[in-house]
Amino acid sequence: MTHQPARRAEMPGPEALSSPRDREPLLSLAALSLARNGHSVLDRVSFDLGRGETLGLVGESGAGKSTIALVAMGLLRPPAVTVDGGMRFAEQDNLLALPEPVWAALRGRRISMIFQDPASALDPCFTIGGQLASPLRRLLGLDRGAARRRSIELLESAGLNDAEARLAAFPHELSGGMQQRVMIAIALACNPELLLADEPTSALDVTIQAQIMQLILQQVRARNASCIFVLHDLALASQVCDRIVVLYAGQVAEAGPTEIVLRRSLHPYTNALKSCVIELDTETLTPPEGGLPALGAMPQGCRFAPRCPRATAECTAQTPPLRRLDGRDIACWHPG
Amino acid sequence: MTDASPIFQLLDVEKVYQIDRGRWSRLGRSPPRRLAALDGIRLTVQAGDSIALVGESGSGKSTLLRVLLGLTGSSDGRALYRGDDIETLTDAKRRSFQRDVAMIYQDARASLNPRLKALDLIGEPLRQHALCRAPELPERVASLLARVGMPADTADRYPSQLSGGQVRRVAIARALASEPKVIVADEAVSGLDVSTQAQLLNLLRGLQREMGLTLLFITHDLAVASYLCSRIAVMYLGRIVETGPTKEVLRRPLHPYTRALLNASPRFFEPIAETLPGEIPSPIDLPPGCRFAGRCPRAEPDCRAHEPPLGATHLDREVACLHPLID
Repeated sequence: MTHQPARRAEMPGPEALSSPRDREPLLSLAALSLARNGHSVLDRVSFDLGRGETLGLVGESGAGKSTIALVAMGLLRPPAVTVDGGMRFAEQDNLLALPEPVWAALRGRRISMIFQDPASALDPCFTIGGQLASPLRRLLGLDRGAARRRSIELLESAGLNDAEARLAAFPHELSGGMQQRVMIAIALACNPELLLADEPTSALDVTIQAQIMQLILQQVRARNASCIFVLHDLALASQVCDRIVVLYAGQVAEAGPTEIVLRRSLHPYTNALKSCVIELDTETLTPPEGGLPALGAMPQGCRFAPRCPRATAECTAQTPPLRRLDGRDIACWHPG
Repeated sequence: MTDASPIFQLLDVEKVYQIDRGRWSRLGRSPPRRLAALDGIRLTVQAGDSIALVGESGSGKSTLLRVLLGLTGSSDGRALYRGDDIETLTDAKRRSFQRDVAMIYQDARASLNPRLKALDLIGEPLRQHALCRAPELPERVASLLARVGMPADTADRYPSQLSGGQVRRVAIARALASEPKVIVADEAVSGLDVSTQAQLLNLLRGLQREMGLTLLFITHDLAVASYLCSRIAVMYLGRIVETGPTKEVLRRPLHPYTRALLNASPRFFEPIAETLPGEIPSPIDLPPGCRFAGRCPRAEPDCRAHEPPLGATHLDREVACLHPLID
C-alpha cells in the first residue's frame, strides 16, 4: 500500500503493458494451456496484469473466462486437469506447481475471489459474522475480539448499515445485493493483492449492479489491488476495466487497453461481440450465427473461422499467432 | 361481441398475501401483516400489442403474470380475458384460453420435463389440443423446430443434450405449438450470452411480426424492452408507476424511477452513473405516501403524505408521480 493515489495517471502506456520491463506485472500468464479429459479448454493464453490494474475477461460462455479465474485461485489444478505453460504471481514463479499448503496460505490472503451467485457461495449454515471472522482468524491470526471489530469495519465499508447486528444474521436473511456486499467484505478481509470477480453482478438488479460495481472499484483502488473481472456485458466492461482480454474457445482473440480493444477493435470476433450489444436506440441486431465449437470438436486453425465473415483457406489451415498490432495483441490472419 | 374486447384487461387488480407472524399470531395478539404484491394495477392489452413489464425484483412483475395466466386469483379487482373474468372461465373458454395464451418461462430448462425428448415436449400441446393426427406429429414438430431455427434432428434430443440457447428455442417452439395468439414471456432472454440473446431477440421479433402475436414480455433490461415492445409499463413495489410508448418513455422519462433505471444501465465508456440509494423496500406494511419516496432524489414532504395515482399526462402516457420530470 505504498503508492495509492493517482493510479490512473501513472498507468503505463500500451507499449509498456506488453513488455513491462520497468514494472513487474502482478500476474502473468505465459502460453497457459489446460485440458480436461483430453479436451483442450485453454490454448496458449497469455496476458499480464499490472499492480493496481483492472482487467476484464470477456467472451461467450465456454470461452474459458471462469476457467482462468479458477486456475488463478488454485481451485482447478492437476491432476483434475492437465496444464502446460506458466502462471506467475508476484514472487511465485509457477503457481501451477504449488503444493496445497502454499496455496492455502495464498488463497483468501493474497488472491481472493467474488463469485457470481452470492446465495450459493455463502454457507447457509453459518452466520455472516462467522464467515467473515474465519479468514481474519485463520489467515491473519486475529483473536476473537479483534476479528469481530475488524468484521464490523469491513461490513461498514462494504456499505451495510447496522453492521454489528448483521454479524448474527444468516445469509438467507439478506437480500441478493446485501449478500454480494458480504461476499465483497469477505473477499477483501485480508487485503488481497489480486481480486477475481466472476460475473459479480449478473444475479442482481441494474440499480444494485451499479452500486456493487462502484463498491468493488472503490475498495480495490483504496488497496491498490489488481482485479480481474469476468464479464459478458461489454458496456459494463468498458466502464470498469483498464484492459480487456477477448477470449474465444479458449484462445485469446484480442487483448489490450480497453479504449483500443473496444473502440478500435480489429478482430472479427470482437466486432461480432460488439454487434450483439443491445442499447436503447438499437434498431437491428446482427449477431454471428451459431455458437462456440464443442469441446471435443475444435476446428483446425483459427477456432473462430467457421463463424467468421472474413475467413479464408489460410484461416482453417493455420492457427494465427498472437502478435502486436496497433497497440493491442491480436490473433487473426485478416484483422480489420 | 367479445372479440372486440381487449385481450387482457386488468381493472384495479390487487393481490395481497397475509403473512403469518408465527404460531402465536393465531392467538390474536397481533394482526397478520399484509404483503401487497400488486396494488391497484390497471392495464389494457389490445390484440397485436407488445408490452414490456419492467422493474426490479420484488416489483410484482411475476405476480402480475400469474394473475394474468389464472395461476393465482386476485384479492380484489378484476382480471379479464376478452371480457371474461379469468378466474371463472367456463370449461370450454378455459380450454381456448389455454390454447390461445402460451407462456415462455424464465428458466427454460426447469420448465421442460428432462425425461421427454424435444419431440414429445413440443408435441404435447399438439396432442393436448388435438391439433394434428398422430402420424403427422413428427412433421409438425419438425416445422416448429425449423421456425425457431433448429435442425429437425433436435426432436430426438433430451433437454440435457442442448445448450442454454437451444433449450430456450425448444421452449419457444413448445409455446408456439398450440398456435397461440398471445405469448407471455418471463425474462426469456436473460442470463444468456450476448450473441445468443441477440439471436433470440431477433427470433422473437420475427415471430411476433410474422404471426401477428400479442406479446407480453417481462424484462429488467430497458434496451431489450425497447427492441421488442412498442409499449412499456414500469413497475415499482406492486404498482405501475409509468406507462406509454416505449421509445417515448425511454427518451423522456417522467417518473424519477424510470430515469433511475435508465441511468443504471451500463453505457459504453461512460463512468458508472450515480446510483439510486438503497434497495427496493419490503412490501410488508408499507408506509403511506409514494412508495418510491424513500429512494427518490426529488421527494418532497407531500410525497410522504399522498400516494400519487397513475394519471394521464399527454400523448398516450401515464405517470404516478406528484412531481414528474417535466422541464
